[in-house]
Amino acid sequence: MEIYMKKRKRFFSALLAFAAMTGLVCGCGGGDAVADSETSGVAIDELDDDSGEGQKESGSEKMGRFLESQVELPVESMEDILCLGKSADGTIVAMASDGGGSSYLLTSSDMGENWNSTKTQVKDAYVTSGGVTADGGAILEGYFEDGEAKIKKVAPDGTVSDINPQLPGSGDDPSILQCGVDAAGNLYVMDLQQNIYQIDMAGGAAVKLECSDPASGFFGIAGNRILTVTQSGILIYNLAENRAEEPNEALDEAIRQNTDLAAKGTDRGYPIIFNEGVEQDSIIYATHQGVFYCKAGAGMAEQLINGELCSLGDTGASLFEIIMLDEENFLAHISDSSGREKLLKFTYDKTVSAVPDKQLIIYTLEESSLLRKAASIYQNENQDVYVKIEIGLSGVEGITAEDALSALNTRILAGDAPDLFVLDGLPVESYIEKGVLSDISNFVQQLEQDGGLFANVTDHYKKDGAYYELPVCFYPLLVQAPAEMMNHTKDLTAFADYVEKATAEGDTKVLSLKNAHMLLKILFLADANNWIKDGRPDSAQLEAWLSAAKKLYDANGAKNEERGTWSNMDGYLLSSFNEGDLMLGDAKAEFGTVVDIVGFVNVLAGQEEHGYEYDVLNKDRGNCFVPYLSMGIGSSTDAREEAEAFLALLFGEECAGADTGFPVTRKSWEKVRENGLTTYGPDSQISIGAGTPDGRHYGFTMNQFNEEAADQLESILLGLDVSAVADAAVQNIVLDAAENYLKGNATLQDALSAIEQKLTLYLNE
Amino acid sequence: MNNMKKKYTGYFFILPAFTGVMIFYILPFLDVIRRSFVSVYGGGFVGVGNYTAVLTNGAFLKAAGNTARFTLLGIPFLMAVSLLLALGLVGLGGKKRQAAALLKSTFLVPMALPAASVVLFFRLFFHGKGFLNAVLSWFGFSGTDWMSGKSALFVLIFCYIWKNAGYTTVLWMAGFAGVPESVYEAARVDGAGAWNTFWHITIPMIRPVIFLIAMISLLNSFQIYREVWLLAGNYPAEPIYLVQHVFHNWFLSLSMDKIAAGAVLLCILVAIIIGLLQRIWER
Amino acid sequence: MRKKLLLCSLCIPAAAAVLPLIFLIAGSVTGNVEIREYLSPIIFGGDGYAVWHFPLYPTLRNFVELLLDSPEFFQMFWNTQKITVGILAGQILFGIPAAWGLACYEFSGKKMIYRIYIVLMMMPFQVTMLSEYLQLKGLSLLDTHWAVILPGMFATFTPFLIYRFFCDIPKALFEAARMDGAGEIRIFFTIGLPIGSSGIIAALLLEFLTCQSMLEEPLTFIETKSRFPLSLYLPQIDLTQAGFAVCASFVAALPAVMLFLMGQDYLEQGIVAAGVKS
Repeated sequence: MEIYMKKRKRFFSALLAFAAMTGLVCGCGGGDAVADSETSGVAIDELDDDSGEGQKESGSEKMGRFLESQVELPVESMEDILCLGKSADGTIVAMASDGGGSSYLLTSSDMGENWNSTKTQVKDAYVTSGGVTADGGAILEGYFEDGEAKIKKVAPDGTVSDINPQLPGSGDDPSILQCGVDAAGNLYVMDLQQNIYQIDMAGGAAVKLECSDPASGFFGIAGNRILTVTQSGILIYNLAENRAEEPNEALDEAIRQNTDLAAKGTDRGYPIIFNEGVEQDSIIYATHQGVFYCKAGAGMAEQLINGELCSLGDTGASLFEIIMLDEENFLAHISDSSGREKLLKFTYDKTVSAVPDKQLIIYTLEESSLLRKAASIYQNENQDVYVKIEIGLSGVEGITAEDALSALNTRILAGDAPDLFVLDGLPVESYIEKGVLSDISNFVQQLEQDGGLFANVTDHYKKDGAYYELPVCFYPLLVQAPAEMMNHTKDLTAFADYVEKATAEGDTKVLSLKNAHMLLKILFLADANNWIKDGRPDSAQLEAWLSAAKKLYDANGAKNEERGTWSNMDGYLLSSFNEGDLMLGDAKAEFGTVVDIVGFVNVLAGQEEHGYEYDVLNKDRGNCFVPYLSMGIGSSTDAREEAEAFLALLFGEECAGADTGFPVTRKSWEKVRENGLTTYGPDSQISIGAGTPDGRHYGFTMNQFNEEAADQLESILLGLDVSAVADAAVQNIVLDAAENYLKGNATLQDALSAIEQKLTLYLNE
Repeated sequence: MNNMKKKYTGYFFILPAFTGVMIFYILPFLDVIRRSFVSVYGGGFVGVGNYTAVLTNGAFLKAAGNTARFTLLGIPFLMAVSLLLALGLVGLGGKKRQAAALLKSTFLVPMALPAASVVLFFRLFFHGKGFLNAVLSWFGFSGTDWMSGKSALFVLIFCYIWKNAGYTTVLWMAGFAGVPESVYEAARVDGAGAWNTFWHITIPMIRPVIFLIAMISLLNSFQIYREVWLLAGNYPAEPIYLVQHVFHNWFLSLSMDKIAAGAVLLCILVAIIIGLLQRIWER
Repeated sequence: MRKKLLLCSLCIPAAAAVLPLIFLIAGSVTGNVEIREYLSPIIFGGDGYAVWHFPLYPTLRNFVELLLDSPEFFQMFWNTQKITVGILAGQILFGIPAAWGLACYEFSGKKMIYRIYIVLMMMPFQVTMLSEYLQLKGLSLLDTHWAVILPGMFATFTPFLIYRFFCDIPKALFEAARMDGAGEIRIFFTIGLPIGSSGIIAALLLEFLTCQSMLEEPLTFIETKSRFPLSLYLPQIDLTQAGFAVCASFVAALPAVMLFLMGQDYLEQGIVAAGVKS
């Protein structure tokens, strides 16, 4: 009995300890407390304070918010903005470079309306950080015409001098991560060990600061304070008083809520940027969530600008600098998701409502730069509409496409369907059947009248006379090979047999390396439309396809796995047609998706170099096009007009570019074609190349896209008449089993029966 | 007066919990029943349309058959295996009691391991190039990819038994322990052999335990879906394509109406089974 | 002799039962590189079989990476515990009295309630998933831990199990207590709880184990990654990080295994009590 009691006590005490610990953690974490923490990273307090930053009430609606506009700098074909700041007397100072590599020092005393421009001696600058000095000059840190990493000081008259920081332990060539200038005009740098030094601009003498923290990634300067960003919070150091300050609760909370803010990823730009506010001891900071204002030492932060309503919210954009001109004006230097540098101005407008009445919610499984571009343009032109792109696969680890789909379906059934769908990867058939998508035939008709469409593509989407979805772009699968092989590429089986024979005869360089997944994906797109007849999988076709795939894989065998998988990168579609091996002579034939002019130029280069011909892969069994960005409008949307306007923009010429795929509207195609002719035409100087680890390399100038080539591309595009199978479920089923077969983990029969069984189940559901 | 008091006391004890159950379980289920009679998006009444759709749906029928087959095979297997283990452990009693206790502990380990942790192991174990095949190859047998084809059913039953055998074994042993020693004495005196004693005395006496074991095994047979899904995804090998897979996939294609109808059918079936089992028990 | 044979033959299933645990332990101290090598036939294809044995170069690196470099692991770990404690508290507050009421009192509708409890126990999650979601949405509980805790508090399996234990208490005890003038609530606290305690603990232990590996509910009702429980973290680590995956699996299993080892006696006693005919 006693032992019984003892054990029970032990058990209970363990349970209690557990509960206590959990209680403690719950108290500290406070994760649940913030209700809508998606859009606000900190404790938000809509203060109606005297500084005028509060929002005036007008009737029952809150009025007033910051509107965004773009500031044009007087620099011809401006490339980059190098730095932005305020001099001691409040003049705005910026530096920008033009297409030719020259850099200019720009000043404005009227909040960015008018600028004075002084050409500086700085040439070919690639600046990674910088600041503005008290006298109206600038400091730049990065790479310059001589190719070395340097810090340069630019005087207001444009003359340039070097600053050589004497950092301990680095000798002549200091490795600097970042630099910054405070309100007093002092220069600070951070080295590779995350130590921060104050640098004497005259001699380069370095004094290490206490606020260095080896766990920090970068720092920011707000007036006389330097803020060191680490994963656990932000260290604040007062430079004027030479002491560390209390951390700011709001700032630390922001980091806690989103530790990504402490990770400086890309070469340029920061996840969170700081500066001083106009009031004494105030700090402003900007993240993708918007612009916030707080006081050093105080615990609360106020959100002034909602990132989602402006370009700041574009997660593909990079943030560089923000300055507060006064309570109602801010300037920000960002580069958008296409990499274009912009100077944005945010001005408070009392007359607009605080939150736009209308919402346009666009749902997409995967990131898409084309979509973002359209959204950005649309938002700017329609500041009264709240445009929000919701990404299913937001890159959060572990969320699969299926989880995203589940979540989406739940929302739809809960009555919370998005206004616009990007249907790639979604069960379109089911949606149409259940009435989730609305009839967009009118819209399609308009497009037809307005310059026409590639009917060979769009006709495919007509269901019983109506349209419910339409892809914005499409692209072909091409194959390139020596003339004698080309005949055999019209049919996958013939192609595979040819390759098998060639390999058997000792030729080791027939095909490029492609890992199983990539190979299967390409072959799937090329042939899958032949496999399902009358709602049942066709055994013979599948078997033939599997055999062909295996033979093509075995040309290189296990070596194939050395290659990685290509896919959408940051929302950019990538061609899977890899000309590298072809150009180097490591392969005779190459095939894959060609998604843009650039990809096509690569094909042309192969033709130029080796005389290889090209055509559509598997042409005899299916002249396939692969759709991209299939759009649909939700049937329960209350923003129908806005949705259609957005689509018009998306399908329109403004969004079409040289690298966004082949548009389905003729007008956009014309523009893409034009772009291609100018950028990659006979006068082009752009060259491209790559090398192998063993020292071989190739290169060519991308100037093959002339009228003739354009015509050929167009005729290929016009000739496509079958849609590749876009059903993600089918693709998953087939690819999983086929991959096992290719890698030798299953026999042909195993794979075949697995595919058949599963496809049958799927089709029967 | 006392009786009334007792009656209301009963309500009093159960009311808070039952309110919660009402809110969080019964109400949603009522909504499911409603959904089984309407269309998915738009809510128009479709009568028994969804039920016919479900009952004529090839995938559902296949899955139902598979689930039934698995349940009918698995539960008896599980009960038999655990019964043997229980008998073995009981047989070890006396001097080897410590060993028996230790063994019992190890049997119970699978129950403590979370599914996700274990799935990783099983995936490697049953892979075409996995551990099981490696071991078989030492003895000269060539293995196959166990997760595909007919062998998948074997894998499923194995996982099911592996996870639940320990717990079930202890249940059996508990049942045995409940039979008073005097009964066995009497049997011995009457000259009954071990087998006879077992079949004609022990088993009938522990009938309620058998009911409990069957019920819990049935419940666990539904729950094994989670492991299967973690192992083999949405479209596993055909023999282990279960009713829950169909529900899951229907959800992905937004066929909530079919799910609702299917669920109601399942519910009715389960209620009938339990009713039958109860009748056997209560007799 | 026969007993020895019996012992040996029983060791085989015991080994089978423990094998995955050993795998987890071994794997968590094996470096990623070694694991990739062992598992290469599976990951990369090619000949041969995957192998497994205790690492030639044991390393604690996985643990370091897990415990020091993966802040989300801790966050998720505590999320799991928070949810677990919440649900257990609820089951204690509501489930135990419910079981008591069902076991010891007669009232109309009792059989119906009992049947409902059993049937609800059996329903797979997908069935009520959407309806529950909508309901939780209406209650503004979505994306909070309460969305998982509240329904969990009222799950019917635990009361059903506890009910069985309470059933076994001889009615004579009640009569004696009542004759002594004890009120119903006092009877509950002074007789029911103490006698049924091992059974209650057993049921709660089982519930604990269930909560640790809850998968579908958090996935559906919680959206913010930082609120996920640990069970959602695991399925997504893939084979190329096998060492890390195994280590994470092992650490995730620890609370369950530890508590299980500690409370095992109660578990068995409770199971024993459950089995005894009412």
